[in-house]
Amino acid sequence: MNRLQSYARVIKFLFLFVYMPLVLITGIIKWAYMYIMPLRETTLPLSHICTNLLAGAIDGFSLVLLSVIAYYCARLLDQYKAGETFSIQVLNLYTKINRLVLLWALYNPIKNTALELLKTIHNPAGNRIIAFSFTSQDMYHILIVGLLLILSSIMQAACELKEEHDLTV
Amino acid sequence: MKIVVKLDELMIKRKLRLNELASRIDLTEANLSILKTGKARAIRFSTLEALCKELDCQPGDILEYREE
Repeated sequence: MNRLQSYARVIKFLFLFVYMPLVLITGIIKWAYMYIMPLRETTLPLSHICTNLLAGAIDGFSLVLLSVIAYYCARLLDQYKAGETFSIQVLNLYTKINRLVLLWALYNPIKNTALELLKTIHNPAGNRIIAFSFTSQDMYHILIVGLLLILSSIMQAACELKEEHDLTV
Repeated sequence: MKIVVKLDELMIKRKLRLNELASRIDLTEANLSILKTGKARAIRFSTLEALCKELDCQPGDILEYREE
């Protein structure tokens, strides 16, 4: 077993049993507390229930994206554990993770804007708020996407080199 | 343009099997098969030298340039 394989084994363990449960379970609890618990109030008008469900769906989508990214990361670590470092499957996984992280990074500011609007949509006219914010955390996410793009292009070059090396007799 | 490997013709002339030639030039059967079927992207001088020595031929007898 080489160093990458043993690192992959440890990282996958931490990823699956520490990091992802923390992120997903706290996310799901927060989501349920914010969007499902208020529905227990029977006095809520239908429009408020619909708004709450819509906000829940918008907020929940980023959690779904995060779960799919986690699934692909786990598959990537599986490939590394199996000793596949520069294969076409690894490259495909990098591309998928990259696209999803980009979608997630771009979706977050849009989600915050939509949630801000939905939160105040039932206020009287003049008190409704729509605000678009692009925080330093969003910039950080875009930076991660950029780094992943560089990494995936390096992986592509490495895969091409490996293929050439394999076909050199 | 295409570089054609004429290894199979030479092997038939010399009545050599793939595994036999592979063991004589210290190459794996899989790699020799890649070369024989024209899937190879490159050939090392050491491999070419070993093939020429074993098949008693010149590099030009193994490789041929054909215009498509």
